[in-house]
Amino acid sequence: MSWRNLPLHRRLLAVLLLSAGLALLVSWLLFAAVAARNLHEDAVRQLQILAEATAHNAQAAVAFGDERAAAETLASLRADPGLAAACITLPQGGVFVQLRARDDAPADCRAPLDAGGWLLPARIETITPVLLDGEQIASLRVVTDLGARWAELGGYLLMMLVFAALALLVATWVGGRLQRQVTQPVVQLAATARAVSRDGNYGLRVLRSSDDEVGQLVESFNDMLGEIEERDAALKRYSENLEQTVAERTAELEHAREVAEAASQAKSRFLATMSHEIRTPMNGVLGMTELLLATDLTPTQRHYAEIVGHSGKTLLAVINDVLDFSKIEAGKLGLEQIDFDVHRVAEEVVALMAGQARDKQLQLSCVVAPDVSPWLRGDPNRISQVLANLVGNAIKFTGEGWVRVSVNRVGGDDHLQRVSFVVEDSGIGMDARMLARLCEPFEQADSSHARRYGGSGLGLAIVRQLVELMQGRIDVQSAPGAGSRFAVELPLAVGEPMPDLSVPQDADGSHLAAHVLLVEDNLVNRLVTTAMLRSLGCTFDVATNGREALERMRAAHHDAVLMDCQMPEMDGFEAARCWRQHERAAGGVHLPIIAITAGALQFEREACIAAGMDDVLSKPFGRDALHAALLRWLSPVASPGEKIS
Amino acid sequence: MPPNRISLRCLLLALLVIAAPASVASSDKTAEIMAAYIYNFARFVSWPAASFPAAQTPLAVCAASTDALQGQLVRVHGRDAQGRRMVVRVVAAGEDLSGCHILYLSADERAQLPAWLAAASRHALLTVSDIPGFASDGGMIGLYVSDNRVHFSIARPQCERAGLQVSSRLLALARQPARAAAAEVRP
Repeated sequence: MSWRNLPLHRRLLAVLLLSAGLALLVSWLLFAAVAARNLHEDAVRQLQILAEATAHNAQAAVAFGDERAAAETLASLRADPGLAAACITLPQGGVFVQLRARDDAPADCRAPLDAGGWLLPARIETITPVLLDGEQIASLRVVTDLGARWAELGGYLLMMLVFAALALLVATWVGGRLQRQVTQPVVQLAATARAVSRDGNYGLRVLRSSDDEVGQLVESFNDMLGEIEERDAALKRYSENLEQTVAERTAELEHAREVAEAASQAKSRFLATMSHEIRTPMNGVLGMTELLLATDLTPTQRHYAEIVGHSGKTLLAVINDVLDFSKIEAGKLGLEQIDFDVHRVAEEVVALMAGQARDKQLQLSCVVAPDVSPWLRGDPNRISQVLANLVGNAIKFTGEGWVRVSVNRVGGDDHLQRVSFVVEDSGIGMDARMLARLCEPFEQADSSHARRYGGSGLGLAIVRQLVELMQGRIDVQSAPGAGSRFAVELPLAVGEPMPDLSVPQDADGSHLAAHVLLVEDNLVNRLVTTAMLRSLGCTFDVATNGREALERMRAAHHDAVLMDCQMPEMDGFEAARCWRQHERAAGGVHLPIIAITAGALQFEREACIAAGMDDVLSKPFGRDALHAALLRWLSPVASPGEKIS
Repeated sequence: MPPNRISLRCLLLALLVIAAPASVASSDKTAEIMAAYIYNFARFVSWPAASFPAAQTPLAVCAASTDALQGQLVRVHGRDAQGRRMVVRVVAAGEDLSGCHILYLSADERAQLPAWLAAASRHALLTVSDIPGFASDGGMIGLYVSDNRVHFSIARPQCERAGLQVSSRLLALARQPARAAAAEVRP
């Protein structure tokens, strides 16, 4: 364990022990050094005193050459227990008398001193002149052994060391007791902090035991814990509230969603119903008008009948616009991706609008640039719708002059072309304010325009939304009195050429000579359709519901069936499904079934196909549409379901 | 330690400074040693202050002798003792002894001993003699030869009576001659 990881109290104790031990050791060493020096000095001094006294005492003995007396004098040096050797030498170098107190002392007294010992001299010597009347008559050399003294000092120091160690022990024990007062709060603090981080229990508190820095730390820690606890609680409360709120909001949203979905479904159902309910009578109106116009009429009657027909078609267009807009708004409008001939789409639109242009004596032209790929992939019907709307709009707001349609390539590569459909006119134009509000649903450039030019105001809104759906963009340039220029730019993939499957217009427009079963519960529609069939040269059976229809189909051969969808007893879907089952079971020839539905919505068309029907004819339909549909299915090249995608 | 091997001066010095502890082989030798002893006595004995009227007053050794020692004593002449120059002078019986500090009586003067002692007692005189039994016969320091060595004995009461102080170190070296030995040594 490294010194940094030691617990605090151990570190404190170690510091205590170390510092006290060091202090004791240093003082002991100093003391030892001083004591050793003192001892040495004392020994030297004592020896000198002794030697001087002895030298003095030896004066006479030396002077009189009395060796015995001198030896006796020297013997008095034995008072020094450490005495090793002593001798009196004469100036000539001779030894007058000598004393060997120890065996290890050198035999020759005059030998230089071997101090010996390590660090401390084991022996000291003193050479004192023996003076008589100020004249040196001899030298007294005394060598004394300090071993005993050193040993004594050593023992003494050792004892001191032992006492110091004992003192250190006691100090450590006392320090240990005392340091607990300092460290205990810190240790407790650390333990509490550990417990808090381990258990997340912020309710713990550390007891404050002192007023010093540690006490302040404890207080701060407690304050911090308190704050955390408070925040924790607040957070918990908030989190609980949040959960509850989220649950409530979710429930509310769920409810709102259900309500909205229900409303949406109700709206869809309503639209379907309205569509059906309006189209059915409109079928009668338009069909009958058409039939009426085919009869011999006076010019006035014909004029009135034509107005009825025109009004009916206008009303139908308005209804279709509303339905389209609703579908787009509801995100229910699906786009087709099929290969189409862009020339043909443009030409058809122009052809469709040619009548209106002619009526207003406007010049209507169409130019397709040669660099536009003839075959493109997209939804030709919606592109037609966009173009028709723009051209219709142009015609509507142009009093005199021209309307020009041009198709240009503005970018892209070999696979994806950016194609611009431009409709220009020499009409009344719009100012900036009008332009800004253009394409908003239910808006016309000017409310006065609605009165003057008519229209639902949905046309351009539908155009804009369709263009957006097709990932294109629309650009309008206009100035009051200077005409308008609508440019729609669409990204379209380059398509493959398709075989021309469209039914060529019947040159004489007449007799099909087919036997058709008409299933229709509505009397008026039955009358209209039978009249059309008759005018097309078809023979027919009639059934008023699905059950009856199945009976007729089993009873006799029909070339085709025109099946209404909404009928009492058994509807058209059910009847178609039953017949297809029967067909599979019997292995008969595929009988073309063309649905007649007032529902113009996509899901209704899909439902028809799903039920096994081959084609869908939207009510109201004209004689031409009926003719085309029958022609399509009576033609031998057609195969079931091919025209429907 | 035979001193005759060394130069004369060193020999003299050695004789004067230390007592040659060598055995006494001849009377010359003995005289030599005794002369040195007399010199040393002068260094270990204190005279009353009156004995030295002036600071330069020499320490006088008066020898009433004609023997060998007298010749040796000449060598003491001119030496220093206790900071004073020593002078040696020959005195005859009946001569005034004032100015003398040490009176050496040779063995020849044995007969006139009481007269000498009586004359000496009038002064603070250290009396030294190799007359056997000198110290016990009223003299102060008696020299004698024993075991081939020169020894001396000191009659301390006589010394004190004369106002002389004999150093304890000197006293420590003095010994009482054995009667037989003393008789033996007598030349």
